[in-house]
Amino acid sequence: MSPDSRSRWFPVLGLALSVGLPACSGGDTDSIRIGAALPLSGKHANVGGFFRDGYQLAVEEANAQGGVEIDGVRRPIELRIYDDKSDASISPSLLERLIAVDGAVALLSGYSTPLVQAQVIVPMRRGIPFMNAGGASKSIFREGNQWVFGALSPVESLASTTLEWLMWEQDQERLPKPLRVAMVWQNTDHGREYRTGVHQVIEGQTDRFELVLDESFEHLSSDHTSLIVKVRSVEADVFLSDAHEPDFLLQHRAYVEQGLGHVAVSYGARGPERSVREGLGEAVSHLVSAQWWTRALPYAQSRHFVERYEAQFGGPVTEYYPAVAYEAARALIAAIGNAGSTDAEAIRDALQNLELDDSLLPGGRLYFPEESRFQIENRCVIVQNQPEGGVRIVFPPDAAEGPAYLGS
Amino acid sequence: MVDLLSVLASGILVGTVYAYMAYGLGLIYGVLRVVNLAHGAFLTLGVYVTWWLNATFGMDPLVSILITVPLGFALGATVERTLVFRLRDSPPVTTLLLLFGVWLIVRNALYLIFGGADRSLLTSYSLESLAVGPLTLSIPRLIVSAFSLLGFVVLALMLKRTWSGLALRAVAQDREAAALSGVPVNRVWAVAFGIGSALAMSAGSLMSLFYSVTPEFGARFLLKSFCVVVLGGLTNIGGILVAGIGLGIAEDLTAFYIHTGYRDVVSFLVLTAALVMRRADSD
Amino acid sequence: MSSFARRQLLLGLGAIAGLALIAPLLLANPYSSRLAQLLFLNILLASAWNLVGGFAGQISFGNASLFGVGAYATSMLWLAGFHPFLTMPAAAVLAALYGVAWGWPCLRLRGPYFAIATIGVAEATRIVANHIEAAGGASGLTLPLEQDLGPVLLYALGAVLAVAAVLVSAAVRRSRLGLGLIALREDAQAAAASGVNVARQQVTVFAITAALTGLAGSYYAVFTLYIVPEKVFGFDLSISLVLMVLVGGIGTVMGPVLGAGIYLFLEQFVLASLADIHLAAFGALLIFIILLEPRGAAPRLAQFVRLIRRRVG
Repeated sequence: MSPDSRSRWFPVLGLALSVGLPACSGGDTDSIRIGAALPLSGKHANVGGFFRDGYQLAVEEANAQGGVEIDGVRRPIELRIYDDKSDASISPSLLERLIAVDGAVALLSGYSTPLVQAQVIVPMRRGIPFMNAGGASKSIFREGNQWVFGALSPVESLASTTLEWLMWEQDQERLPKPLRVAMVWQNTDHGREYRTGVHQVIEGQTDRFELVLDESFEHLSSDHTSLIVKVRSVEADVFLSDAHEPDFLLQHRAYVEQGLGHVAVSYGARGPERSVREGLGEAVSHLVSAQWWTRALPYAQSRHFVERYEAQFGGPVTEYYPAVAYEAARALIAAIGNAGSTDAEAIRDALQNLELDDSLLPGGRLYFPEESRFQIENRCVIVQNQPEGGVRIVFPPDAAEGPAYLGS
Repeated sequence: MVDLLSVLASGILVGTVYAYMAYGLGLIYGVLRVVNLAHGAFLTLGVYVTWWLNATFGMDPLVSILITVPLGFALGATVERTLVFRLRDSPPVTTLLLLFGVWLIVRNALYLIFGGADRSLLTSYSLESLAVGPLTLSIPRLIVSAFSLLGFVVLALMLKRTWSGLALRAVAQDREAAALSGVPVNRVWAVAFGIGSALAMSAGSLMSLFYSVTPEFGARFLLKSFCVVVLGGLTNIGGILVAGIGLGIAEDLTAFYIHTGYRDVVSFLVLTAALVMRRADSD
Repeated sequence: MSSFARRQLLLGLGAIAGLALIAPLLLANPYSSRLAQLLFLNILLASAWNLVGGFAGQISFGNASLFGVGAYATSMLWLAGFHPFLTMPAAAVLAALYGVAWGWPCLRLRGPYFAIATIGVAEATRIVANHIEAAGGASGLTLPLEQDLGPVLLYALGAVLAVAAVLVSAAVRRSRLGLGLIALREDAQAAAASGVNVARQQVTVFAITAALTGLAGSYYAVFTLYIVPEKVFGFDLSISLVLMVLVGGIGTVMGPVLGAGIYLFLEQFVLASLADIHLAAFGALLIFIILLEPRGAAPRLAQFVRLIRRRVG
């Protein structure tokens, strides 16, 4: 026999090695374990960190109050987090590990629609409650979904709230009718749903809006100049783009370089992030964005979160990520408490019936409607970047801190 | 018409930088017959060093070239001395894999130090533009384009007029003959790798003026560099300049008239087509 | 049937029987069965890559383009109503066709030129896939969870595919084709002079590589139930294959199998807790292997086994 053929048994060795290891991981049997696979390294590392902070804060708060009561005994919550390196093929196997090896009774999501889309297969297959705070796309919530709960409103609501704001400004006679709208969107589910949201509003409102550009762009494109030249050529009043941060930075830079101007410019949910102001400075003043949460929301629970978060991690908190993550974890823990059990179906039923009246999300209430496959449908808030930094709520009117600045 | 002119202008301005960023890759190949897959690492390092100097000391990216050039030279020459040199008798693809390992390490180090977030560098003139007739030209893009052309002139003079330039060209043409006539080939290799890396890092300095700073930066531009080099002829300065500008224009035209999504496909297709057509030189 | 073929068949059946025997152990919990699936996938991919990368010495950074074609073929046919098993031959054939379509011109290039050309092809494929709306564009496709094959069937499928890939690899190595390729790798000019048709031989083997890689993509789609161009056509996937084979032992039959196991072990256990350095760890491993152990782990392990045998015997 050649050395080659002798080595035929090595794979078995490798297999034995890789299977023998996961068995050795225990922990405090007293606590109730929940878990998450987050992008703590790789391309979403910065956002993954916000999620970790938000989740941890909610768990610490719950434990400070003695944990949750299960079968009459109060038990602490233990949060276990793994790093999926922003990789959609590693993420599901880490969730399997959380369930099978670590004994997690429920899971919290990672961040970004593609990663969450890959993750939800696992809880749906295993029948484990999964709380999603990181993917807004409707496509995550499949038909017949029982296990996946969404604490982030659909992407469409970003678009529809933005247009509702424009209509409100028209009613105040601060904007003309019809408005010429140029819209570009990233060629993913996120972008497509944004586009759907815009179309849904515009279709019934032809006297108010005229869509003069409707085009997709490549996510993570290396240069956006040509796209911006196209936007300029249609001479619109309003420029709407649904972009994630990398594309937003390059697109808006090209926008300024090419000397464009609109009465309102919005890049979906982008704008208030601290990194954005550091990178583009004054050029981001007056950008309008739709937010799932913002610091200035006038609810007691929201103020409480801001205080706690900023005391622990420094502030001001400019991103919505930690707030939504905190709220999602809080909702999950509340549901476990309501269920009074660690049984997956009991927790699921409790989530389906959950209703929080002290939510920090816009609207102040949190529940998961069955009609939308258990994804919340709260409206967004519209904020505008201020020249001196920070943002101001401009819509809805009952939360608005002042009128919007509408550019030339 | 204005749109077409805007698109062409944008293509030309970006194209000169493409040519400049690619030249180091061609030089290293010409002299060492090594495909430098760590080119992406040096581009990215250049971007980060420039961004960091700006964020920490407020240094202008154009001034930081004075730092990225010597730093790039030192790093490049070190990589050549410690790693590439050991494989001088191995098949070229081995060196390619080795340098790929270097790139992985650099990328990871950048993630570790700076995180994965995209950052931008802001100077007083970053967002200024100049109206030329109906066109709006971005000042940083104009400056970067001018610096790239200047870099080419300096390089051409150096290769033509100095003794090191002569030695580089001699080794590129015929290694054995050069060695016989007393050229210290080992040292020339290190120098060539150093210059190639210095070019890549300074290209990073320039590009930080209008592109985002991310650890994936090099990955985005490595293949474009290959494309320019293969298209333009490996060490042919004029050819590389024309190829860079051609690629810049082709990309912007594609993005404008077909779809922005196909912008980055252009370079990949051109690269593969050019390689297949040029296979005469393929061993 | 030649004695070689008979022995191969017996070994293959033996391996499958062995894998069936340890199946209860691996199917004990969802995580270990997921690990087994990933291991089978890696073995399939690495063995396929090694046919051209190892035997012919043509390093491809573009196998993700074939993997993606397989994954999409299966997913789209499955969504059109075909049983996933029935979609697999189609995935293999389509991937092979696509492989030949770009392999035929590119394989005339040698060494680093081929490597770079494959990057170009794979990246272009990924971007185009991002824009095919019928295939879900950049958001990919979600497959019907209700029709999940279940862990037992997925395990069996993976085991058969992995064992088959290793047997194909052994058969190619023994064949005239394989010997010709190896001769070619060692000395291109001499092989050409002795009448080996360089390009055609490589294209033939590349078609096998492509078919197996397409099957791998198909299998991946069937067990993850969610595919997206960024992943299945991604550069990272192509790189991981190169690493697996180099770590295990390039140009051997068992090297890729060993490498697949080592890679999975590193990825899932060592690096999950040292997350921040996974790229660097792979980079350092690559440099280490190229400079110090260019033949990978397989020969070392074989040496070790021989030593033990000698002691025992």
